[in-house]
Amino acid sequence: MIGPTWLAAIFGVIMLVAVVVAAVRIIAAWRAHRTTDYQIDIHNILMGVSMAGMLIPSLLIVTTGPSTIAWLVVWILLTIWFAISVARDAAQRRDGNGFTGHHLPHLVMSAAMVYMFAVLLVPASDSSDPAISGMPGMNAGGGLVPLATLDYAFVIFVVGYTVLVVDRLPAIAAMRSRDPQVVGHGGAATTARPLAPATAAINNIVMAITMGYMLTMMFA
Amino acid sequence: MSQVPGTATSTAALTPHAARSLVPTDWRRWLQLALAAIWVFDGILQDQTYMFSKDFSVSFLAGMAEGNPDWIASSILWAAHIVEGNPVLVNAGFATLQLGIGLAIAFRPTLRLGLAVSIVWSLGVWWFGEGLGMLLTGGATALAGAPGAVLLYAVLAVLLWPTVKDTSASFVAAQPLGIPAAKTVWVVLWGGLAALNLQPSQLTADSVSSKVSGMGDGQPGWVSFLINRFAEFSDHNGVALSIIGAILLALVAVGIFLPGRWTRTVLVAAVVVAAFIWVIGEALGAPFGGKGTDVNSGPLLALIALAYWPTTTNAVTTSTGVSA
Repeated sequence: MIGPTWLAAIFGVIMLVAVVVAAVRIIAAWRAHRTTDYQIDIHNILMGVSMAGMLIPSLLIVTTGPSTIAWLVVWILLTIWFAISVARDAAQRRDGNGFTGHHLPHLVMSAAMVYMFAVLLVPASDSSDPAISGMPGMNAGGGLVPLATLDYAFVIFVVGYTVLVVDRLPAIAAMRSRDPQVVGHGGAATTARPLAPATAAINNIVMAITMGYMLTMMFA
Repeated sequence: MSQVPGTATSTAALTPHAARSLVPTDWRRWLQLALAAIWVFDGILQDQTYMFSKDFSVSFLAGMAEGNPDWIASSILWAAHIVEGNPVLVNAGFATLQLGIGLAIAFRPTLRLGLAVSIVWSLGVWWFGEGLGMLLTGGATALAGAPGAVLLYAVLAVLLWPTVKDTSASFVAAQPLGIPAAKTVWVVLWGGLAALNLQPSQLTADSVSSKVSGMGDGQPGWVSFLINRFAEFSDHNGVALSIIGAILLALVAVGIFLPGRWTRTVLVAAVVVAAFIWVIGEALGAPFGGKGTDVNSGPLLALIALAYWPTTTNAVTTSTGVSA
């Protein structure tokens, strides 16, 4: 696997925990009629499962031939989805609707997932290292990773995103105390007070750090 | 559906005021966050497989002793021996600490702690992990990463310390130190880099080309191309290029005393020099190959230059670096 096996396993377990957190958020928001951005929680679930599968090849989530291609297709579709969301956010901002969304980081992280899965499909030039035998494209001694500069750019982005979210944590946590508003939501009343915003932010931080780790391990 | 920036949590549409409250509003905070990002990246780089091997201590760390005076070399070898004894545990500690420093600087309530620890850690690594930036070996130059990237982390932590000693300061670096002290730091740094270019070892025909030759190996194609072209160009031109470099660095050093618009020109030149060093001399920190430990000095020099950028308003900042 990429990086030391034991360390990759730790990150993999952390990803599975993050998946559970995101899933619980969706269920809790639905049951308590609280607001959450379902598309991003679902995005985090898929990203967590994908990265856990890469970090722990024995889970066989992404490392068998057809499943790797299937996951690549999933991430291409998600990237397109978030590209549309970002365009929609920009259009609403132009219409003067104030702050309307923040999907750009998720667009870039989806694109990074596409990149990682695409690299997975590159035949290994040297897979003699047993520690990395499960990941054909992510091998030590196999030369420079394809589109290395793009890999570096993704790392810089997710690291920058990480510190920005950490910087905002106190303000995000303070949003819990704001008075709730009741808004119509598909015919049902939904409390506009956000569901555990700090938890959501921490989940995003964990996802970004893990992605940064995986992209960096591909440098080797 | 609207959403808090950076989270997966939707809210009712944020008012412009609420949205602004989530965004850093002063230049110093942005620079602190850039420093935090570099620390986080360093922590991740420290998690590479090679860093957990004995070779990291035997070859990489112990190699810093070479060329240094005996009293420094022996201390470096002593530290390398400690790491060699339990490379996995010790390196895991290194990586966790660096990641923690980055997150602590980014998290406003722990900003001071993060900066303070970063200063102590940087000075330790500068001694034991970088051999004092090889300054005493006679071969250190700005192009080769002098004065040592980690020393610049400490300098930045001081320049970005969240206090305001001089409320009339027109640039970030002067806020904690005052204008005279901040400008002294600038002159010592850039003037020192200029002086390094004039060491006897640098005034030889191949002094420049020997530093960059081979740096492009294993790096992205465009980086290799630029480095190799410069290596060819600098071959046999070491004396002239060292002197030109020294003059340029000296101009940057004294340029901080120029007024207004000229100061900005000098700072832009400093950023360009930092970018040149980073791409040509350091191959973007040479991250590819699994042995890069940090981004190297180029981005740090650029950040320092940005800390001297004249601000349009004399915003008074709070202890967390956010405009009051």
